[in-house]
Amino acid sequence: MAIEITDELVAHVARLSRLGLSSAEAAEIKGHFRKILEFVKTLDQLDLKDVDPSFFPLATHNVFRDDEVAPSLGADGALRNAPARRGDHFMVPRIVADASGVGGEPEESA
Amino acid sequence: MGAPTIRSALEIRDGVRSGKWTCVEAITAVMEQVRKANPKIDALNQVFADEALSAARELDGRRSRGEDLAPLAGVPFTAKDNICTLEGNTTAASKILHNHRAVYPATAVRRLQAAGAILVGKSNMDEFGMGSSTENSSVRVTKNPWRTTHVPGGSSGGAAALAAAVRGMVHLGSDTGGSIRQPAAYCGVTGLKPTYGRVSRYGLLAFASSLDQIGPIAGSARDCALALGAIAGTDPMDSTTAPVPVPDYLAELAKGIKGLRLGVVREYFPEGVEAEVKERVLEAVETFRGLGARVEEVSFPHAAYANPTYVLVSGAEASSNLARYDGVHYGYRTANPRSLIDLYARSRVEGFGPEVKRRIMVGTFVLSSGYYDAFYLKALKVRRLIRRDFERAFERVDAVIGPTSPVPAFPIGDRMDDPLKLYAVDVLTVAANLASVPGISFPCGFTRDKLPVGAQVFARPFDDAVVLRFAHAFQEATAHHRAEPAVCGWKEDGRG
Repeated sequence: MAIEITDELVAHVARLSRLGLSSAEAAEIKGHFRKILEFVKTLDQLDLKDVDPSFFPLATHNVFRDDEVAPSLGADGALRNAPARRGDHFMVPRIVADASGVGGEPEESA
Repeated sequence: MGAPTIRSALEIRDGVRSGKWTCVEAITAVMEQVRKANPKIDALNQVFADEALSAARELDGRRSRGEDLAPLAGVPFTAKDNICTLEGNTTAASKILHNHRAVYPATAVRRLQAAGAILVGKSNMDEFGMGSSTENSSVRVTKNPWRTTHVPGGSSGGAAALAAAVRGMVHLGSDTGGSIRQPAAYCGVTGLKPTYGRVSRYGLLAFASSLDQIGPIAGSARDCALALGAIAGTDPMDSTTAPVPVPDYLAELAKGIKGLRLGVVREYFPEGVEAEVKERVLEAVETFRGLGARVEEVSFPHAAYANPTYVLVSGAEASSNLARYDGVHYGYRTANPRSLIDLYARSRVEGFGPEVKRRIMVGTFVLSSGYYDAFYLKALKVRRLIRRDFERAFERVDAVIGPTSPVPAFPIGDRMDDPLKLYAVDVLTVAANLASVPGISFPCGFTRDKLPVGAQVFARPFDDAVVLRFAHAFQEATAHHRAEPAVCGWKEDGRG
């Protein structure tokens, strides 16, 4: 599969990755993508028509346990490392505009 | 009593058990060596000297009150900085977790501590385990004790470097594509990647969940067996731990290797393997033959495809696992975010190092719509072929052998200009993770330049005892694992 690594593709993947890359970083990663495509091209030599993918290495089995109440991490534990906290909540920038339309999440360019 | 000269963790266990040493004496002696060695090699990100001494006092106090001694009482250990401990921070050597304090300990840590082992520090690593030299740490660059201008390997480079410089400790590392075995090889120590599912991953900061395993690094196979026995087994907190009985690994060592069939993997000695590495490993094969192993050649036809497969599979899993580092729940948050998306995007770009960003990008790309089949799915199919290579070999032999790394330790900075140059040293280790088999690296001699060479033995899933038996039998017959780098506190013999 011939794939052209364009600036737009790198920008698209950076958006999906939630990485606000600088233009220098994006350029570096564009070059890296090309090298990786070259590196993994060798897999195209294999005939994989009748091969099932191996998502997980060993035989897995469901694990059951009794549904018993037990102590778990409380709010203080869960919030212990929060960069910003109010009460029992993680604090983030406003994501919904107020009645006058102020604040809220800007439309993400797709 | 004078300060004991300690050569192994097992010696500490036995010395404390017999009453020859108190836990305080053992910990004090080891911490003295750590204090001398660590500034020369920068192996540890945090040292818990006071906490370790208190834990030792507590254990001694319990014994003096007539309580039973815990089985590993007084044995000092470290945890890699991606393994959660209630002591100190757990940072994965990343800026994005620079101030992260774990809220629960990893099961492996909890089990060692419950057995009386004493946590003395957190070891340095490549950020999130992504690297093979410990140069990708946001904290410090660890040096190889055999030559401090050289890398210790990675990503568990701090653990391996300290294992070489100070004896009598065990170190918990993690291995996603060779991160226990390759640094063990570079530092002349023993490192075991257990079978996938042998050791709980609960409390290990995930890199690639279908490949990651916690395992021990120590001065000998015997000390690795001691540690594995304490950490192995099912855990309700990790449903991928396998309900396979845990043998007494120390007792297993006594069985030796006479009559076991050892396959030399033809494809593990390609062009890129340095001549001296090849020579040392083939000498080890002859040692095994002399010890009664039945040696034959085996073939892994898909060996050359393992590294590209690993890059795709581990990248994909990493991109998903590292999505949790978002600047909201823990760790680094950017200043003055304009919106929630901006908070995510800037916290992540400022918090992650360059190699982590590369791998997240590659992983997101190969999972993204339109590219999934061409890359990720294809890699999973090849993963099955790689596993079949192992299965076919294990129909004929009990274990296989090859070099751990194609090259010995290289100079710091030498492979940092091109990530692919660094990936190249993983070529012989990644298949064990893709196939979920146990693998051990043990020192099998030195190059003319006095750099350690590691040999690697794989066995069937859950035959962790078999790889330990091979390494132990070799160490009973040879002295390479007892060689000490000059950086060791007690042996200032001038070289290097």
